[in-house]
Amino acid sequence: VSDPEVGRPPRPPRPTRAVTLDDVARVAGVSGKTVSNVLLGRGGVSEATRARVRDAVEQVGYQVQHAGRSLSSGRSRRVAVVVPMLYQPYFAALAERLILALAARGYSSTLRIAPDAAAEVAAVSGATTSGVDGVVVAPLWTPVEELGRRASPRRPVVQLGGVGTSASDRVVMGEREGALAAARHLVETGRRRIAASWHAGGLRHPDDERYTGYRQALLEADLPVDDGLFVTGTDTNRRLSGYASTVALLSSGVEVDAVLCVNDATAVGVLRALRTHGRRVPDDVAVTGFDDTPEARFTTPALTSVDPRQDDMVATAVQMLCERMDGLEGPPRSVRTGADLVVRASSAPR
Amino acid sequence: MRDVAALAGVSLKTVSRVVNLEPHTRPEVVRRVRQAIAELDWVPNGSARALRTGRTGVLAVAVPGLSRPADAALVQAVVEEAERRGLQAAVEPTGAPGQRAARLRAVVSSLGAAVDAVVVLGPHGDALAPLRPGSPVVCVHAGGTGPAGSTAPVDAVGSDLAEASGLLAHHLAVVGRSRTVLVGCERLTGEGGGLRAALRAAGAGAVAEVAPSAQRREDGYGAVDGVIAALRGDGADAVLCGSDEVALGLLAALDARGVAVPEELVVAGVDGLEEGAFSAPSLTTVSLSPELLARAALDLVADRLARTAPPQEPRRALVPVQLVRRESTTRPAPR
Repeated sequence: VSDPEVGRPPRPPRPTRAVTLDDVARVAGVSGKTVSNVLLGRGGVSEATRARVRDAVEQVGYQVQHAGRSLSSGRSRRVAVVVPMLYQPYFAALAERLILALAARGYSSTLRIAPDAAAEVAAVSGATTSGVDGVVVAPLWTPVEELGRRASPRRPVVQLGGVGTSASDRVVMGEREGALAAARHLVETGRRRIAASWHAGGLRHPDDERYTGYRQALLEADLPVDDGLFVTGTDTNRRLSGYASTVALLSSGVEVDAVLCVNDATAVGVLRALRTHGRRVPDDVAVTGFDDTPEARFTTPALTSVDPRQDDMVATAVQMLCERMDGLEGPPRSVRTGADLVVRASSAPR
Repeated sequence: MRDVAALAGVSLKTVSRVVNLEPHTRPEVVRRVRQAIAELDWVPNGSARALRTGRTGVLAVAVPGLSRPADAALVQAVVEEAERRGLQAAVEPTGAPGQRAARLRAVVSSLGAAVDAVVVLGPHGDALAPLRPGSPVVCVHAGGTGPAGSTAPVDAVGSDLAEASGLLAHHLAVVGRSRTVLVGCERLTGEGGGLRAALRAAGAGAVAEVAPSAQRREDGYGAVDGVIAALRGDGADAVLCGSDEVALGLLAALDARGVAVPEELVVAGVDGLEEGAFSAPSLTTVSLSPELLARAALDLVADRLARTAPPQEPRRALVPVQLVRRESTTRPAPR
């Protein structure tokens, strides 16, 4: 008489019913629709309710289901890279560098172009990026605080650039230092009426570090911060925007001897507008950009710009993400990278 | 479907439009519907089309790299066109030449599971050869041998480079030039491009060729000595560049060397990059119309998903190009 259990493999654990959205809704005491709104990062839900839903998701171990999601619970060694657009050379270069740096660590990438805040949140929350181990996002439309909150607790997110403080790991670009260096350079080379060609939205936000750097240099030199010298275009990531805002500035009768631009794309439009309106660069007006895109070396004249050390930013972001994907716990980290002024002919002294 | 509509907060008609890839639905709404479908794990029933297209709502876009602005513009156009039709785009980098074939095979192997269809940008070697004819895969050739040279058993679209050659040659003749230097023009002098013949026919034959494989701004900048030699030695009066990047690099170098464009030399490129509208002088170019390429590619994909095209015949579509006349060939730039 033998023990009937001997010689048999251990019995597999009984399959349990899959946790559904309804379970989350029941635990959180809200409707399924509300759970869905929270998981998809839509607005119209109070912070208290959002917190309740997130707690319930944790408690019942709910996983958002997606067609095509890897069935294994193992890691995919795949990372989502999220940028707002590719027509702005800064973001195309950033995406390319992230993809290469991740490949060097043995991760494949999938890239999402997020043309608005909803798409950005959907990529960070996982709604459009199922099956990845982590996310690197260069935020543009959503404040970094908000994006950090939308991150899934089981999937690390690192943010690159952006404005504000975050609940996720973050690389902070040397925006203030860079703009400060560019503005000081203009002051030191004798420019006194320095216009700023800027973002259309979020004017002079207290967290706008590039604006803070520009302003600081003017104050240091006892130059007035003149609202008439602050111009904005429709889409700061398009060259046309810098062109249009400069034409408006010149036709308003305001005289300037320098234009400090929020980025290179804007600066390229500004260069063209100055030339077609009879201003010589740099003799009449100096121009500086920000990003040091490949285009900057080949404009006429070549564009003075700020190199945000994209390689450093990328290496830091990938390092932080890999540490998190390897299980590192702890509070969100924030690493500042530097910026270097690259002086070219567009700001040569007169 | 009612549940999907309720969860997404839209009408049944809107869900149907999204599932059937009809245009004219706002991307934000399309995303909401797709998310609701994914969340409810809903499989649309009815037509074969709905079954196939409703599965994942994801279009993979395989791209070799993003560092070239023309490539980035094409990816952007394909992603926007996909979203317009209710497909979410997953851009899949296929990386350096060594790993490209393996990455491409991985992307197409996710067909039917993680993605509904694949758009392949750039060269693909024989990585697509094992595909079943009629697969929802389309190759986009912005340059090179064009779609006619594609060896894959799937649909392909490409720019009409012969038309590009003809437009450039004719334009040089119209602005009174007769002796042309070619810089980085490999993509137009090869099969399917016919640039040399087009120039001869227009009376603006090539007198010199510099750096035929030049591609980037640096290459164009570095080609300036050869171009100036042709100007002084061969009486050249025009330069055609195989890409806008090369042309923009050359414009910067010619300015540094004091050669007046367009008075001494006219310069034209190919691509239609946005930055060519802002250079000094602004750049005459042939736009390869990334939006049209994207639309043609997505039309072919939609037909495959709907199974309205005979599967055994891979289709080849040529997309027209457009001459954009600017200062570098037509008039002195304002000084």
